[in-house]
Amino acid sequence: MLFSVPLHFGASIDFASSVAQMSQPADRPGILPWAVAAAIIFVGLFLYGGADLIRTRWSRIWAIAGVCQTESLRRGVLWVTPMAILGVVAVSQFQHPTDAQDSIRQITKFCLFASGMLVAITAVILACTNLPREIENRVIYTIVTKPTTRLEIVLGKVVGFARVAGLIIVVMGAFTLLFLELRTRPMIEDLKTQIASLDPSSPLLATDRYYVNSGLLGTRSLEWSDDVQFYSRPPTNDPERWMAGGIAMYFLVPFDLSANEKMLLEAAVEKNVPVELKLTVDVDSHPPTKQQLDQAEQMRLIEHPATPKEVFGPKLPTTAPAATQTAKKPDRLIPQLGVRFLDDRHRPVSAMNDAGDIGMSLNLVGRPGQPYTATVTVDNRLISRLIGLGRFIAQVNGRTPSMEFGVKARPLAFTFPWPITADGVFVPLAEVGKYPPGTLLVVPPIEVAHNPFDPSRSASALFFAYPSRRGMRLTATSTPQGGPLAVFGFHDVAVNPGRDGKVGLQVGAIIERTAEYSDDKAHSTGYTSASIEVRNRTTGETSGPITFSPEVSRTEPVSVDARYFAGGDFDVLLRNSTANQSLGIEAGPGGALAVITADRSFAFNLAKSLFILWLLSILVVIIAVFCSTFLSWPIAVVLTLIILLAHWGVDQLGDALKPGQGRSVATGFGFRDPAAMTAVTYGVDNLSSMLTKVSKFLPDVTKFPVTEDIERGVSIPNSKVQDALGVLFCYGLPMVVFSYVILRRKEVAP
Amino acid sequence: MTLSTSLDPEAVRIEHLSKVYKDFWGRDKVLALDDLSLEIHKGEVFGLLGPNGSGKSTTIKLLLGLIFASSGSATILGHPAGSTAINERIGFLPEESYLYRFLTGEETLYFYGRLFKIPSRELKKRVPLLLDTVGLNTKDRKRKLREYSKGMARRIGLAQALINNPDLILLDEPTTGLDPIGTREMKDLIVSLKNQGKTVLLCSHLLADVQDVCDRITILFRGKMQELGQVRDLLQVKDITQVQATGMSAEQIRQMQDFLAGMGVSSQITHPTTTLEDLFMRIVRERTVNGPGTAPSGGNGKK
Repeated sequence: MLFSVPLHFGASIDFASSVAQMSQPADRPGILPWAVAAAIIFVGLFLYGGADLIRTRWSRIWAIAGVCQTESLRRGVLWVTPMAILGVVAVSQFQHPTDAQDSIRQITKFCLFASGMLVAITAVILACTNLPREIENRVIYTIVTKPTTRLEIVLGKVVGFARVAGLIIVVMGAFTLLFLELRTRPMIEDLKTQIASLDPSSPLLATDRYYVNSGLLGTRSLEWSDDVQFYSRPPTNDPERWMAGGIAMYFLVPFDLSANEKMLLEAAVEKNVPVELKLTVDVDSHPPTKQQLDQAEQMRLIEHPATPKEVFGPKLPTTAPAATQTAKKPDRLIPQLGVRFLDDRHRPVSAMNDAGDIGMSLNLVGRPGQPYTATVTVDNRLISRLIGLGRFIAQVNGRTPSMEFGVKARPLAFTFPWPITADGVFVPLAEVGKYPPGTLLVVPPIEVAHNPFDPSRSASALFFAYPSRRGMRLTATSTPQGGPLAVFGFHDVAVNPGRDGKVGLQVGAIIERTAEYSDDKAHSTGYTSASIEVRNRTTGETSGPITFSPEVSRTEPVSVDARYFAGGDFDVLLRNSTANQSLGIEAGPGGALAVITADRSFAFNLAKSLFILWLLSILVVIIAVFCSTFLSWPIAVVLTLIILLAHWGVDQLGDALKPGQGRSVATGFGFRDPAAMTAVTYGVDNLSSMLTKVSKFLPDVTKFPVTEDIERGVSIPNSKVQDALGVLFCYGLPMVVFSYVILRRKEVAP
Repeated sequence: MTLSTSLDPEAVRIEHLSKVYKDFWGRDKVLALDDLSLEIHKGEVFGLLGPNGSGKSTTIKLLLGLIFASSGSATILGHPAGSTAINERIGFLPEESYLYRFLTGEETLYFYGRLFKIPSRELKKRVPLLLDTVGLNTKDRKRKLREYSKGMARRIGLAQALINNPDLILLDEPTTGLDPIGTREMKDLIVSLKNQGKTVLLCSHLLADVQDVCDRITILFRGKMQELGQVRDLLQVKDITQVQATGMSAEQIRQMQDFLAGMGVSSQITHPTTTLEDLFMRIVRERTVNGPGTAPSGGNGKK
């Protein structure tokens, strides 16, 4: 076994997958559902129902909708709202908030949850029962014998129950706003009292003051960063980035083989020409601590001069220097990196090849001040597999403790030691002399030309840390240059400073204990300590570290002078300064760090949230009406719920069978035979892929994020409203057309 | 949308219309209508007669597009039966008042009026007029339909059928649930509609009602047409001659019998009886004129 810490690689897959998925086109809602929807609408509405479409009049739809609404109201539908309100008031008495802000957010969530449940259940029951009941009691006779098209009937029902849902939402929304206002006022007074009694050094002071100043119903527009990378020293204008060895950091180098490159590699494999992987990095060694020496010894990364033969490393092709010294020299740490390949879904490729190896160790050769290199011949079977993939990723981790590895653009390349003739024939090195000078060509290396997964990234290497319980793990500062640190890159972000001339940042990382007890100062206070620094990439100005105390289950506000955000291109550097604790860092929306770009009105945000809920209720009504056109109402209710929740359910199943899990399943079931293992692995992965594809044709209710943002005090971005509208139109309109077609072909007289 | 009047002289033309109800598996279950062909002329009152299950309602449902024909075809006012466009000119009173029971009488008419895109100003005139015509008083029209008696429900049902001033009115069992006064009013209304030039298709098994108002009838039995023609032709007994005379004394009656016996004709001379309906109407009318009235308009008590 070449890797002494192979689990680290396996464990890193989870986060790496999420990084890849952010940029994979396959996971974006494709154009296919829209095309299918358009085709259904065109055929159903314009070809089949063209005459009815021409006859359709809004006044008739509105009249039918009015009757639906009147019926619902006269049946006492609105009486359920007081019950829901009482439920919310009761439940809010039993909450266990971490602080005042958390209390308000929990109440907000209760209110919206109650509103959502109320609206959804009401919409399903009303819409599912209406049409079957009208057919059963024959009221439909007097509707269809009027100049009313079946399309108008369907649309009238949808609009009618949408109006009912809207009324419920308005009532619940008004209650939510009023209830929250009433609950907030005494809490603010309590906070003021608490601030007066707090110790000036208490980390709670800043947060409490922030709550009092911003209000507990404060709503912010946040800007998140997808570009979060982990370095061992702060980034500078120099493109070189540094990774520390021995502390679970790694970088990824994506490859995207062109047709010519594939042909070249195929020719090399066919002729058994060696293909080498060449790694070029800078190395900076620091005096190791006793702990690091022990770790290096355990990993056999110390060269003992007294030992005449190789004492480290595997019997793989390596550039490690031969032990040829005759005089006694001091022990030397060997700079070593681990390399393995992943496919574009971050499943290990090397583990899948016939050779059964899981990666390669590369011992670096070089001199201080010069680039270090390592070259290894890659197994032909692995090359064949990489050719088949076309797109793949090299994952490189630093293994030697106390060393830092500096990475510039294109640190990794496939090289061809054998030259070729003008006819493209590889010439073995031993036969090079047979050819006249100048007749042989050196094959150019295959390098990463661009980042195929995210062209917006500037560096060809992406730096990450190993996973935490949530996100990536940011351990305490331990490198001489102040690392490790998480760097959140922001691009073209327009911020609106507050009246104090500062811009707020919001940090929400989870805290994990990582090792045994330490009596360092930070730990002895009982608080976790971290710091933030803002670096303006345009001006190069750096704010200097601002210390704060992150807490579990709530976000921490940090204010930084607005000038460091000028121009909108800046990095936020986050360090953890508490030994034995790590911070879990997530990227993207809802991640660990966000810049507050503006303060917004809570009422407006609530209105947006309720509007999204209303859109969801319309979708529910449409599906319910669709089901009720051909089923009795109890079955229609069941089918409505299935259609609504199927996408979500498939997604959940897809998560359980996410790419890369096939191997875990195969292992879990105890398959030993390589053929069986491969079959199970690919079978499970393909099943996951199929389910994911099926789910794309079902409405995705997670696109209606009613509580997601508002409960975090975040302004709901317009894009989410657009997403909800998109799902409503993409799935709702075809459902309406199906309902119309079914009803038109249905004999309504029982 | 107003449809142009068809040149077709027939209001309804049915050709070889058949309807077979099928079971869940698509197998033939019941032959409800078997090769029916007939025409209904414009401006006449036509009666569809037959016992329960004879195919009367099936015929009406087919004409209205509530169900689809297994074979054959039908046109209404020159347009295919069941087309939405022709519904502009049709009024339909189902066998029971299938209406929204949570609406008031007035709201019901406004709702159906909106389905015909009748302007609000026009509706405000037409609705009270119709409610007067069918005999629903001001108080009753503000009550919800679930509080209506069967008779009141029939009246509001009739009003909704007439809301669009239709050219063809299909009435399925129009007098069901009505008291004798209501029945007489309904029949008077049918005659009145005929006098306005409208075509009425009446479907009933109450033969007396049909006899009183229909110009032509057809009798259906087990889905097949048994008879078709003018009511008076069908009811006429060819071998019996009736002579009506007023003010004859007993002696004159005896001499008439002797005279007929001398001619070899057997005869029976009696005094004619009025119908029970006429008797009832006369009594109620006299009580209404002579004493304080207690009967609610159109209502028969159920609240």
